[in-house]
Amino acid sequence: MLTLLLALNLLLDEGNSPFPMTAVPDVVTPQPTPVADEPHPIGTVQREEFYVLQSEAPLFVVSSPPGLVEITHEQGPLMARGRFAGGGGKTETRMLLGDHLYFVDAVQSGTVELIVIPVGATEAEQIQRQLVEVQAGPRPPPQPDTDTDTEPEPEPDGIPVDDTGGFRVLLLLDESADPDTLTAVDSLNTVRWLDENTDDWRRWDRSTAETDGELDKEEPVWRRIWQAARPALPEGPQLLIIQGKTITVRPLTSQVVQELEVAK
Amino acid sequence: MSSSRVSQYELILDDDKALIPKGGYGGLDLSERLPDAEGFAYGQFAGRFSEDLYIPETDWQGMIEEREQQQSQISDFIRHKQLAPLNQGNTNYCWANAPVHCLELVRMRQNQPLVRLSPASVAAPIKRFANRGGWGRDAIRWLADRGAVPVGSWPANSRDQKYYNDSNRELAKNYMVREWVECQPRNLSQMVSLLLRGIPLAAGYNWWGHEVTLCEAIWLDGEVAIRFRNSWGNWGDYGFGIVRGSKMLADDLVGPYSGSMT
Repeated sequence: MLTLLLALNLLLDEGNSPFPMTAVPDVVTPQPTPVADEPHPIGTVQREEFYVLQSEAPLFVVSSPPGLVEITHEQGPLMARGRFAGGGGKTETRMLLGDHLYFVDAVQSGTVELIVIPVGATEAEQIQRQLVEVQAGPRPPPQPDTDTDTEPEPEPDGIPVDDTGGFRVLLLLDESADPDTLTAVDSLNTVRWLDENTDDWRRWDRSTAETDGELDKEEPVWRRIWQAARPALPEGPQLLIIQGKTITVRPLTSQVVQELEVAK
Repeated sequence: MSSSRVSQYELILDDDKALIPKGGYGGLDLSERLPDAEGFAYGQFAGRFSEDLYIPETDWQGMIEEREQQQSQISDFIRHKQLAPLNQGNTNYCWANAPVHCLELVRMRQNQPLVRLSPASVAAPIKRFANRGGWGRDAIRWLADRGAVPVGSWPANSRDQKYYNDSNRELAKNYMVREWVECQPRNLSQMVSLLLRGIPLAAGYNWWGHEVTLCEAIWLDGEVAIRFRNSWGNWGDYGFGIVRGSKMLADDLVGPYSGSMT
């Protein structure tokens, strides 16, 4: 969703914490116990979630002990799509407005202290610290014993799905789609091919499709396809070719018609 | 590259002519829009234009040529699908006609059933059923929050309050804008970058007092120009006209990325 979180703007004001903050609901009715929460820094970093420090000025960001998180500096502002720390597990698109963005990635579970030092700091008060729980998820399963005689399982050809009874195509686009791909997808050549060769097709904006409940009124066959494919989809624009009980996923490129010709 | 093909019936609106096209109602009214430091509360309700979407000016000519060769322009798609232009009649609802037409186009791109939508079902409730002007962002916000009613249930230009009922409000939820972007007023780079990505835009022009649907960037006499679609029925060539020079800089510019999937 493209709607800006106004709270993000708070982070950019000079003197405010660069840490991602929790949202604080409006208090409509006075409560018997005093006041709503102040926004406070989010205290958990999870694997596959964005935890981003935003700052107008360059920072040194240090983690202690080292090794639990990986910190990457990017120039902002930029738009990022995915799950954000404190976002309730929902996939969102957010504009990260700081000139300096520090992405904190979970590497190993544990508790880490993030220490933020503005470049050129001369006073101890300028240093900010935040304890963060790192949830790096379960360790990957052990590699199979290569000494056994068991043949490795072949890579599956596609994603299984309840029989869709035909040949369908789903073009999944997002804001990272390059102009050449968009030109190819928009072309009448592609539209005609899809109209003439498929039982049905769709072109979806990915972040819209990933919004909970968005597909509730779509045809059941498309809902089944999405339910089956979604967990296995790589990032970026994708071409989903659905033949009966199998979904094949390929990156969506400017060669879309050629890919479809081969697949059909 | 030679210039883009322009039909003899497409009226070209440029700085050389003091021409303000006649023949239909307008209705752009930006008077209620509160100015602020960044241009009319730009970005307050939708995502601001993302820097990642910029296409450098040096690429425009080549990309226009490519999109024309591949018949990827929105006008190609409109003609292929035979989508007739809107006609706002004697309403001052141009500012709702353009965003509604954008939503129709986005839904067609998604390969969803062609359903003609009623601009009056958006504009009339916003203006308390008065025949008053407005601006595109108000209409697209309504489309994102509440949707538009198909013309079968709410005639395109009707301001009759009887249509604003529970049944139609529920029906409209099937025809909503899901994601949209707001551009900075009079920002040519943002406008052309989105059009080169195939995103239709609703553009309000103060000089014309009118809002139209921008379909694509074209190349004309060595510079970029814009092909738009009017909401005056079969005006120009199937509703299409050209605007260029300073006249193409829109004072109000919004565009939907996606519509509801129904």
